[in-house]
Amino acid sequence: MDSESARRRIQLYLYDELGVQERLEIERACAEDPDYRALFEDEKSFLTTLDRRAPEAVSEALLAACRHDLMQSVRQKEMGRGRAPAAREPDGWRRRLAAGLSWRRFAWRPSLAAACLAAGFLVGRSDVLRPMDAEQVSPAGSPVGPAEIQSVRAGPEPGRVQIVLEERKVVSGAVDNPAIRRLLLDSVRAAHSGARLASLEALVGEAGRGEVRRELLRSMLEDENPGVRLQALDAVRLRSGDPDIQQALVQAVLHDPNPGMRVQAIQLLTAKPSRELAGALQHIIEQEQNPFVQQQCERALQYLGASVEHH
Amino acid sequence: MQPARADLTSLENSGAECGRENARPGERALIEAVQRRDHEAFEQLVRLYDRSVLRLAMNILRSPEDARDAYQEAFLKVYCNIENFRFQCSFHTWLYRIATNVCLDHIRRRSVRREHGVDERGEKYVGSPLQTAADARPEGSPDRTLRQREMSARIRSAMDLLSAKERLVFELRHHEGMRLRAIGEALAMSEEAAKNCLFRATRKLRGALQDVRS
Repeated sequence: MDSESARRRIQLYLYDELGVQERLEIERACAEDPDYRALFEDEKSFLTTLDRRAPEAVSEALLAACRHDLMQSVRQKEMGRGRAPAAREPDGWRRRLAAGLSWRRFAWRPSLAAACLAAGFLVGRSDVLRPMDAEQVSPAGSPVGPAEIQSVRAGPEPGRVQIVLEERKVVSGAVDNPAIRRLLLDSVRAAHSGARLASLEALVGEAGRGEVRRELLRSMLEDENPGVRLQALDAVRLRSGDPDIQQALVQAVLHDPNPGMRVQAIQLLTAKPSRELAGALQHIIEQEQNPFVQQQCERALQYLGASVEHH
Repeated sequence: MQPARADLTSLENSGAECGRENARPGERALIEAVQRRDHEAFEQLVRLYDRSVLRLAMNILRSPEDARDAYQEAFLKVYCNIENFRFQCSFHTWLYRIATNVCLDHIRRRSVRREHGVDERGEKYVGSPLQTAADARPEGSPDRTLRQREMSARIRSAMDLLSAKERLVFELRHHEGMRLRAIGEALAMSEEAAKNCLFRATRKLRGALQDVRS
């Protein structure tokens, strides 16, 4: 047997991909033939060497961001399909009705969609899209600010224009109402930083919920505005002992460009230091230039009885 | 010759080839609920597997941003196609087949971008605020940490010599601990082809790391 095919069999042995008979043959060869034994040891040490590549670790913050993106895309897909996002199995009369309709669902779905579209079109035309007369927006009427103007088009006749105004809706409700919470979660990603800030503030009491918590952590780590990031950090303050929040706080200390944010994050992290944090704190000390952050880390490490490696 | 990749329909049609692995308890009920478009069930199903899918994507694509895209794409494909899943193979194999194909597509797109000079984000690990601190934590003395990092970097750069498929097979066998048969099913190749691929990968790595070992 040449060296390459011997290596191949040894490798399959080490990966536990051989049958009992083949395993016994290799073990016998190792016992009887010193050269084969040396080849075996060499292959084993080579595979062990390959283990020394540190695998890419998956951070909780990245995982949370992925989950958030995914669930948002799923919701969008469901909206595109015209389905409610959490359609649980219907029971009672709904199940019977669904069963009755299911055999011809491909027939009635387009009809229903067409009916909805027609109804929406009629409602839209009758109210929102019906062009208003100039008198309705006269200086005596309610003033229209530039922010409410969506577009200006040339009118059907010379000398006339059509101004499309944005429709504004006011939705109010309790923060723990799922629909309101959903709007707030969407608003946390709004373009306007003031809206993001106010939404985060409103969501503070909901930080125990998975979807809210994920959004708060995402904002804390990714929002471009330091004020918004600080607000997000503030929103998780009461839960700073939780592992996923601690992980995110470590990320904030390590990577946030704003020193104020890093100081706030380290204060939260070191308020309740745990043994699991020792490695991260030592790493922060190595990287951090800010003396206050370094000092906080040192204190926490001393409190934990861990070594303070300063370079 | 094996096809470069299998689409999702052919995956289910080839159910007879798929090994029947033990599913996690309650997994079937969860999958059936997702097939009825139960959003919460989908979230639970994702959480059973998503950490390992993300780790696989990170190991293959070496960029948190690309891994994030691949994660999203893979699970969206699962969501959109789960109605066609008929339990003829394990969900794990089905999911890994989708995830590995998505990763291969990313690598292909990346090489096309490079050829056309459109986007050069590179295959190297790109810094991100979402990177883990654990990855960079010192694990002992500074000397030892430094040696470990150097060795890790050497192995990473040796892995650049592997083809996308070789890298995938190696990752799935060496780091994810998947059986070669399951890898073959996931990558639409025979078990023998997966073995050959693994052997080619380790031979290339051995050659590239010769000086480190001696």
